[in-house]
Amino acid sequence: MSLKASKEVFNLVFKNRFAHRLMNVIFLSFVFFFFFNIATIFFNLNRFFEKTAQEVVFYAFVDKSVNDVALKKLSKTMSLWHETKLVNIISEEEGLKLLKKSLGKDAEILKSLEKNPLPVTLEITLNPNFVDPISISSFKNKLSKYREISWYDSTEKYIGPILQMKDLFRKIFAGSLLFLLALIFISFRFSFKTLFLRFSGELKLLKLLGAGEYFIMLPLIIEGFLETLIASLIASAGNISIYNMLKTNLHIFGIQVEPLQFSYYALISLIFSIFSSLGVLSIRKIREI
Amino acid sequence: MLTFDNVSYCYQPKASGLKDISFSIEKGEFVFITASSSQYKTTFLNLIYGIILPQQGSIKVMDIRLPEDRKKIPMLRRKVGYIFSNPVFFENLTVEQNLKIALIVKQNSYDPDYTKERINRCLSFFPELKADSEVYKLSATAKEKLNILRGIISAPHLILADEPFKNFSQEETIRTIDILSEENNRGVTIIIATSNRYLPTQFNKKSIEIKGGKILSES
Repeated sequence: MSLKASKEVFNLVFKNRFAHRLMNVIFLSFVFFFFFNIATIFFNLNRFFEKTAQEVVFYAFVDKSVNDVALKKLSKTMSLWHETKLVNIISEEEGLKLLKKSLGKDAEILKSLEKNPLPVTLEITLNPNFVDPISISSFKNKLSKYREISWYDSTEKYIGPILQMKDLFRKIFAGSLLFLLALIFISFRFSFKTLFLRFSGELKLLKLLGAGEYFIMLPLIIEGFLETLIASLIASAGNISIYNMLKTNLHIFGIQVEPLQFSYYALISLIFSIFSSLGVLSIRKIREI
Repeated sequence: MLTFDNVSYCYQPKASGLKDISFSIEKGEFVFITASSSQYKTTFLNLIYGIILPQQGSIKVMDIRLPEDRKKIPMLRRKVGYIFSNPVFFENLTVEQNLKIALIVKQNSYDPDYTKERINRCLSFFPELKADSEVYKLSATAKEKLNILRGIISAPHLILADEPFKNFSQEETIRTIDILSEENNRGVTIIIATSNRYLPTQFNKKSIEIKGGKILSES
């Protein structure tokens, strides 16, 4: 079967279809733009959760009796541990705040004290490769062996809920993606079914003259594919522009947002285009004409 | 070229229709199927063109056997030119565009030069038919002429014509027979269904007469 022949006939019979096509492209651009925005929000949230889940910080509250030399020595020893990424010595005031936060309701006891019971606090950031439960447990054992450390706390307890949220968001995103794919598939099916019904007389005549199913459907499949591809490219361009703008503006407030990677845009656009073609292929109405 | 083997077709169970028809037409023959109105002439041609399928028996058109080879019906239709009794066109398109579509679909390919040449050749048979006239503006007679041209445009192996002269004058009928005879001289098989039983004698052609859903005579 010749595509050139099919296209020539298609252009004659459906010569007034370009307005319809243009409307479809505009509508799909909006739908895809909406989808890409949701995808980018999920992508950034996922990145944030991943980053947070990998950042376990231990706060070691050092005994008041420890002098400066011993403290520096302790800090240096800890920074040499393979689990440690960074060790910071933080001020008494900040250390007190952290201790209050760590004690929670029990922090009332600190009010009875006349002054800060802590000399300094060591903030130990773990290497992302050692944030698994076994490594953390082993790190805790290491810390407890030091008599200089009277108390320690970590952000480890937040990792579980963060990972749960990350998992939840991932599921929501997967569900949204499936929903949108189904929507594209159904809308294309509906759009082409309407087109087939509107031009059923012309299609009947083409079949009567000897046109096969694919002679009629091939241009529709190709145009549907291109239509979706154009719409998703427009939506991608819009999404990239907006997120680049947000990236610059939000950076001032210390919030980091990124658009999706180009390969994601390409892959999603391709999946949408294939789904739209499948939407045309699934129409059995053409066989009944 | 064409064989009917005990073919029956009824529109409703136990109703009248074509019953147990058997005959054959050789390649290059020019045959009139004659019958009065409502005597299944159109049914007969529709069976050959694969619009309807035999309920009993089988039909062999060229190398396609119906109803077995129903998937090959589009291919069969591309090899056969059908001059319909109640033709349907792309009304908003021109005469030339309608012929172009028919030719491309039948050829299943598109060669702009050949298409143009073939359309001009066909239009020369009826010079009164203007290429750029929109079909919805044409008279019944003009549409009949376009119908004939659409049937022959692809130089098919077999031409089926269902009452092609019903709106024609005697002169136009003779001209049409001449056009179809010219095709026949090139080896094309022609089958014309008509209620005018004098035409076969007038043009000295073979005829098959149908009555009551059966072949009454062959001559």
